[in-house]
Amino acid sequence: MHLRDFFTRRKNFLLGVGLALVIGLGVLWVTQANSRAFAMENALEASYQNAFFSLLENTENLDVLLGKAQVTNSDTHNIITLTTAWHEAETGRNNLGNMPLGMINMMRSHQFMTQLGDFCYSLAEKLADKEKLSESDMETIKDLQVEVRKIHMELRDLMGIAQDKDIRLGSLARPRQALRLTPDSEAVVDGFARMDERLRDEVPTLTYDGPFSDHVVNRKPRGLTGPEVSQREAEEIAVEFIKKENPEADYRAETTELSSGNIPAYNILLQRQGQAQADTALGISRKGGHIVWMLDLNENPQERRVSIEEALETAEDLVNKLDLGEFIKIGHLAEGNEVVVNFALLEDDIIIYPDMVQVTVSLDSGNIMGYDAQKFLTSHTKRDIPKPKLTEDEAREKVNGDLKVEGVRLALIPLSNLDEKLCYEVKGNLGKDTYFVYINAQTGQEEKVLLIIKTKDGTRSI
Amino acid sequence: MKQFAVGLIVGLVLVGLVASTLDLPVRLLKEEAVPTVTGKVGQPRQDDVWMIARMVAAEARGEPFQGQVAVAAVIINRVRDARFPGTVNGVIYQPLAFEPILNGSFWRVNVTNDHVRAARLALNGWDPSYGSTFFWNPATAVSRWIWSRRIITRIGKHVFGV
Repeated sequence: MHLRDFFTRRKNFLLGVGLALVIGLGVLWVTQANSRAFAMENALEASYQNAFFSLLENTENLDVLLGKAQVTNSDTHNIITLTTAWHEAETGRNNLGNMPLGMINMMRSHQFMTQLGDFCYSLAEKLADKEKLSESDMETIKDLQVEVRKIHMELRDLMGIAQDKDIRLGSLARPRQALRLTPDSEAVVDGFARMDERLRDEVPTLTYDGPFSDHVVNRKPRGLTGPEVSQREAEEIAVEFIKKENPEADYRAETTELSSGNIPAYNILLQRQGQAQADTALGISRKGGHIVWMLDLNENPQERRVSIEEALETAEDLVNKLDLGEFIKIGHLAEGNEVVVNFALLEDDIIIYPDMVQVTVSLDSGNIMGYDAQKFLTSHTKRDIPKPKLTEDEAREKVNGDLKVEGVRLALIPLSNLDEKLCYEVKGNLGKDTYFVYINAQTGQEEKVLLIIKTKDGTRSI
Repeated sequence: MKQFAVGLIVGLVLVGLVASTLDLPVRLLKEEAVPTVTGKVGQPRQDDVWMIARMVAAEARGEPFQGQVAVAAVIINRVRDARFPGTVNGVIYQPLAFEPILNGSFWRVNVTNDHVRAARLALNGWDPSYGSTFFWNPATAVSRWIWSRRIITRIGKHVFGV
């Protein structure tokens, strides 16, 4: 039987198969794709709505908690109220981060939630330290409560619009250029934008003892001393720095960019004579010509051939050549095939923890791969460190009796509000774990406890 | 006509067979898309490194190394900024924040050693972006809003700003 005969005889049959296939597959494809996309969209919508409703609840709870904080007369009870408010604000911040509005319309709202929580926490800390809340603290709580109530009302209204007009929150998340928003959903997006704008205009800057306080966020680097340097001088400084490691090589420097930002700097690339590509990038501060950071661009360590001890020595050698003062190694951690080593300034046998520099060393070639002094340049300054009122033995006695003390030394530690406190750093063991306990050298108060985790790759503190 | 009817039935059976295999491509896609975490368990900040390295791979492929560190540093700077979520995962997965999450390339990228190193350096404090919280590629940036940010520096194809 010829193929052609088969086709003529079975024409109708084949036609039937073909038709069924075309229609059937078409329908199948459309429904499958649709139902899958539909299920996903619903799941997404559910998570958006979940975030929105949780946010409403957060703002309502915050309103109540801030009210109670003004009424209560018991400091101990107020600590609980304020820490609950902190937690509530953090959850609110988290829920804001899950809203389908993009960050542009949410940035100030985010900041408000963060600072509100941070502020409440700082007050709870104050009370825990047996301090009283000041009148201005109470005033701020009152203002914040008014603001939270407004936010709550605005969110309620927006939720109302969304419910009345059947707006799916997911539809707000589509990039605008892809899908024009309907006037109703536009109203919801604009509502959020207006709320954000109102917060930007109305809420004054908040200064308090917490890491998100405006005075911490807007800090100026203290360690940038000296005159402005020219581009040529900066390039010379960069070459001089790299020659500390490779004295024989010749380098060509090229400034690629003038950066502003927290430390205004020249971005410089160094190219070794005879090499096709730049092999080092550096940032040199415009004021004072300090080395802010350095990164090796070509090194890619593949295996560990150098011991960590050798690498630590290499790092120490570099830090000793920096001319920034005497440094002490405070920790290191090997990750992958490189090790990062942390150093802190040592002044009159006091460890100055805020003034930190870091060095990374390749465990493959043993070469320096990176250097960073941003922390040092931000915090370093001439300090008047007071004489400790407590003696070392008195500090030992302040520590929990179960801790087996191994050693005590003086240290200046940074607090989250930028304050620095002179403390006795008491190193002790509890069972198999090592802890650092920081006892304020003036007041005898315990400022901080750190758990030290030791591995064969280094230490880290929590 | 009878033949046509039989044909239709056979065709429908074929469609049924195809339908039963339909979720196969989904399963295959998933296997490709869900990445595995390599490296040792219990290594510090392993999850943060994994996420940031992935975003660096998706956003800064082919950029100079200091540009990759800068992109990683922008993520860290956001975590420390009150105007953004307070965790690395919060920042990375924030709706509409990063293009690779929208177009899915975040889950498909090939993460190399350099991307992981860039992530670690940024976590350790290196910041060639000098505190930037935004970065964009002038050649492809669609949002006019982004140009209202204050520019801090340029590295490779990227502009960094606050």
